[in-house]
Amino acid sequence: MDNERNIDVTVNGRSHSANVPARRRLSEFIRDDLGLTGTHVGCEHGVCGTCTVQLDGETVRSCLMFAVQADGAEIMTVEGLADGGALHPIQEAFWQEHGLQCGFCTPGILMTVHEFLLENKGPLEEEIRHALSGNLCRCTGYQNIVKAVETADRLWER
Amino acid sequence: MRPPPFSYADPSTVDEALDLLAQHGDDATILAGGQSLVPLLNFRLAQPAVIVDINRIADLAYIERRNGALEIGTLTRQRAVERSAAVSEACPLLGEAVADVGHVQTRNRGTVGGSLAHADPTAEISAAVTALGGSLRLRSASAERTLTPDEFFVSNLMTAIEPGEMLVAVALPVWPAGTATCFNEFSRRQGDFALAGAAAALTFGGDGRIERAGLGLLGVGDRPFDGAAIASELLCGEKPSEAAVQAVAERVQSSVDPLSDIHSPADYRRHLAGVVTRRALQGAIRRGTSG
Amino acid sequence: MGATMIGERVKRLEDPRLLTGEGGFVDDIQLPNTLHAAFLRSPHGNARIRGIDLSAARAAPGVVDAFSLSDGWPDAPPTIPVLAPVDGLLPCPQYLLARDQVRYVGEAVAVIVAESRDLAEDAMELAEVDYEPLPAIATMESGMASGAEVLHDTVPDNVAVRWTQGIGDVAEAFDGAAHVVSDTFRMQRYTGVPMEGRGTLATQDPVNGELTVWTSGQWPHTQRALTAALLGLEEKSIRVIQPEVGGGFGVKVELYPEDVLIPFAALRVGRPVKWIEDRREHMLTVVHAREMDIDLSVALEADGTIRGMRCRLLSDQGGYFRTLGTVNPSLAITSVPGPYRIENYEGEVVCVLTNKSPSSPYRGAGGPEAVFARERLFDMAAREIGMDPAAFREKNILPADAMPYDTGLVSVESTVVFDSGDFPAGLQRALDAIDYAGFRAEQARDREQGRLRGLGICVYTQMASVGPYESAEVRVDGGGKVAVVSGAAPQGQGTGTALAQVVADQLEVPLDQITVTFADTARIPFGVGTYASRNAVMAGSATLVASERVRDKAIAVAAHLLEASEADVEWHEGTARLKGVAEKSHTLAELAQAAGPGGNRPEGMEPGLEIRHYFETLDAPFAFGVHIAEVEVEPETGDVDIKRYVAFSDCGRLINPMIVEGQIVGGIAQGVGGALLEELVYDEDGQMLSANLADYQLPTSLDLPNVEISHEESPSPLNPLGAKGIGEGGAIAGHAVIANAVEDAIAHTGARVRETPLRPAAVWKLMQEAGAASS
Repeated sequence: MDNERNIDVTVNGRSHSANVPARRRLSEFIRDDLGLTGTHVGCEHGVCGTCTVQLDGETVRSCLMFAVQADGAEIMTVEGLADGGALHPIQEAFWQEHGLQCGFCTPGILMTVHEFLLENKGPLEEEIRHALSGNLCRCTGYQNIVKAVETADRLWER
Repeated sequence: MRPPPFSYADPSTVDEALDLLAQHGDDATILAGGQSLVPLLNFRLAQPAVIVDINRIADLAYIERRNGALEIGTLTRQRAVERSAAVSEACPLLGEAVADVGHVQTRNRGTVGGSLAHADPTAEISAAVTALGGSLRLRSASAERTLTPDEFFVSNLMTAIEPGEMLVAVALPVWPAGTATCFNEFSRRQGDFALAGAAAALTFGGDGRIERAGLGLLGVGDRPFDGAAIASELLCGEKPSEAAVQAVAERVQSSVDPLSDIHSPADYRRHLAGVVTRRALQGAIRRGTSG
Repeated sequence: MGATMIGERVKRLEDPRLLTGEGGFVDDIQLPNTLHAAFLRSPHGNARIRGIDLSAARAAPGVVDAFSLSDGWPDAPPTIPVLAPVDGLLPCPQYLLARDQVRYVGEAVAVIVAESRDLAEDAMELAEVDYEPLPAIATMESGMASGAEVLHDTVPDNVAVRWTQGIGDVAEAFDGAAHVVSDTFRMQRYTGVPMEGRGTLATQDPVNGELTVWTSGQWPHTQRALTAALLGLEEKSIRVIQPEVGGGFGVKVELYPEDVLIPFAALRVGRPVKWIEDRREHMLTVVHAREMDIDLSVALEADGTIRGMRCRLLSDQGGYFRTLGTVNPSLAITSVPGPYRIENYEGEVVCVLTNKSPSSPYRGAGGPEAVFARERLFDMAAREIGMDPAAFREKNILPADAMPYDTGLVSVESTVVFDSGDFPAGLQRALDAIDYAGFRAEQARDREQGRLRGLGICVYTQMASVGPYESAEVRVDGGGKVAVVSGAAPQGQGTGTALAQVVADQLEVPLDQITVTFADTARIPFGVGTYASRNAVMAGSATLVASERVRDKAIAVAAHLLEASEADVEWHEGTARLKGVAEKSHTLAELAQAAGPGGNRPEGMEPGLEIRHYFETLDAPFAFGVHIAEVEVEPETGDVDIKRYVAFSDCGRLINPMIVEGQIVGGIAQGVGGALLEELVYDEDGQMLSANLADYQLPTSLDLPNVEISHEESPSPLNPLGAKGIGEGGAIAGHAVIANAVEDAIAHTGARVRETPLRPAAVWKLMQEAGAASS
């Protein structure tokens, strides 16, 4: 029984050790404790998908997990996508296709698309729309996001 | 929206977890996938003093054939069910239902037991378990018992789980060869709490007659609706017919007791109960008779 | 290069930082020693406050400060001003914190400042407020009923203001009409719901005393002025910076209590204070929009020619009149006639107070409401007189030779004068794009097979920018790099890219030599902000003029250096050269150095290769568009599936078609959301039943169509770019066009669409009731 814990996590390939209160959510841990503010928080109840990160290779809502639960896990956030100065092909595709406007939901969408394209090659538009349906975007109407996923599918050698 | 403070424990065995539950009784809440509990915590609609996180209990995540049933450990992720060959072979209805639960990101964390224990009347898994005649195994530090869905689901967000008890597994009987199933739900947006849904299972005899029927509905009352009696009475012993399917749909429609909310008035849900029943039965018949 | 950058589909300069997670939104700014605020909010729709006891909250762990209105302002607390008043508006303003009564759920009552947000929220549970609940007014109808609870003593019948305006002789038009068609339309309450909520971080500089406020807003200069006024500070002692903003859509063009209370708290505690709005707070307290009941009548000649229109519009203003409360009804009442020849029109506005969050502009601001009612009524009128709805519109639409066309109407924002465009040609293009005749034939055939297909048309005009000015400064540094600063304050529209294109076009320098920054009161003294689709027109024109003048100044410097007359110097790919003598040239960097203080520049010339320009105008251009949608309604569920969506737009000259199309599709997404899904629902006690994103349903990727886009570019004569805004057109047309298409799919049953959202249950009910009525 603890009110706080020491945890060890690997984020974007770097290991971190931190003391966190039990109620600290993974989203705040990533943003406030690690300073990785690319992961945004949009609803805090698991609907909007803005805070999506990958935990051991699978997308999760980071507002619906406590940091203590990530002890020992490997996490990827949007900051882990680009290789130094070179954008990841998914990022490149979103840039080319104007797949973002305000960019607030974008990091979560990129995490979702990354998982989806690793498992799916040459997806149909309908499949892409299904894959995106757990991430809300209020700016784009999704049309260019769908195009960006199609382009990313072509650009990303995997 | 910040969760209230709580004490946290993450036992690594079921016995440890049950000891903690015995010790803290009503003050303790089990955290599984967290996809329903954590929003409640974030809104401070739930304020447990103690959270017993069962995610470190590896023994609780499994999908296994045991004694003619497919047994699924409470901590099994919904995504794992969706991807499981054993499920698609032995209980494809569950796999089909799970695919409509939330979104990939919530299914990656959300668990089978968590969904059942949360007892949202719109839950897909609960409807499938009802349709298949599954059983729910509960354990406490001192005892173990097995409940039918009818015994387990009490009302909206209420189950028969007592303080100190935990749902440890659900067992789904593997229906015989010749069984076809179909899950159909209607929701305005993918991943929403469905307005209504139906899970249907039909076993066809060698002569094409229906020998056994299961039917579970979601979203049409304060707990899953078990339509097996209706479906059996109107379908079994006969070859499938549109008229019989329609009769089941109508009987279901007049038997359910749906609630009104801002998404749908009760009369529309009642209407949908008939629609999804018909669609699910038609789907199962199509699959069962297409050879 | 040359003059080719305008009109190019340039990839956005904003994107790399946003794609890599480096964008700095307000919550991403983390100052050391920051305290976090939480707001104690009313759980009641309407209640008197008998007492507030914060002593236990103050004593809670980590709490540094807690205050109510009387703690902060013991004497005369300030109220939020109304910025666009109309004659006769009765005072019903909001205090920064509730004084003796709360009038909507979520209204802030006290502020708690603690070492963390968690601790502030823990302490909030210890605060005690003694409320005496009062009957809540949940609908305009109940607010206007005799004997209704009075929300403000100053507004005895809960009607804060009513006014009428019109043109021509409406009585005569209706008296002599062959047909009069009337109906009542209700648009529900819905609003912007950006993915990033509001948020503010404030800190006082210990050295110079300056208060710096980072805020997720849309009008930093106005926010500074109002914050200074409410806190009794000098404007120059406040710096407002708008960092990256995660969407606004109008709901951040407001002075919210929190905008002032967070800086106030920072001054009280002497440490940085941050507040990030959570989603529940957002749904409860962000300004709401739409919610109008519109009675509309049209008088027709026998052949369908419109003789006149009458409109009575009730606007639900919520619990208080805030800064821009008049804008939605004013723009709505003046948008009713739209792109049609309507010479006799009379409109009445009634603004009603209820126990809901205050109302204010959201994308379209009165346009969606008016256009929904008009385009619905025109379909009904055409049906009633047996005319095709497209032909009805063709008959009444303003011809090209009518431009410019003065409707004679004036809103609180501008006169309604259509400046340019060929409306009939646009309508025809859209009808051709959807193959209108072909669709009608298929529709009839499919209906016999039980398929319910429908097609909706929406023709609209949009006030496409508003004055009075916007600022831009273009400066070339000694390295030849160009820095643009504007008072515009975008939220993701890509304005930085568009302005860079304007500069690149003039100075003929590559885009990567140009940086654009916005929305910082310390970088540019005056600015207006981003709303009313104004960036391209206002900031674009200011930037165009400033960069032209920079180039002229650079040519003057070059002439001086080359000992030539300016007429003999030409501008070529970012350098000035002697005509015909390519080697006699100076780069932009050289010219900037020469122009700098102490440099070798013409006598009498102001130093610095930099120009600040304010583009000033009170004339608003108007954009035009035609949207046509095809839907299919599932007969047994009422589910609506959008099969095709065609959008023709004329928003003048396009700076970046890619960005324009993004705005069109994004606007449509919000219009469709309003037509099919979104609603802020209150129960009879004034409790909100949709204060989360599961119950307030935003469209997902599966709910929206691929939009087929076409453009015409009729330059606006009102600005040097020839541009018109387009940010709101999709939201305006998207709502009405879906409503029209749904009715078209089920009209044969006798069903009529008079309100939205058209969720499956609602469409099913319409069909049931029509079926019951006909059988």
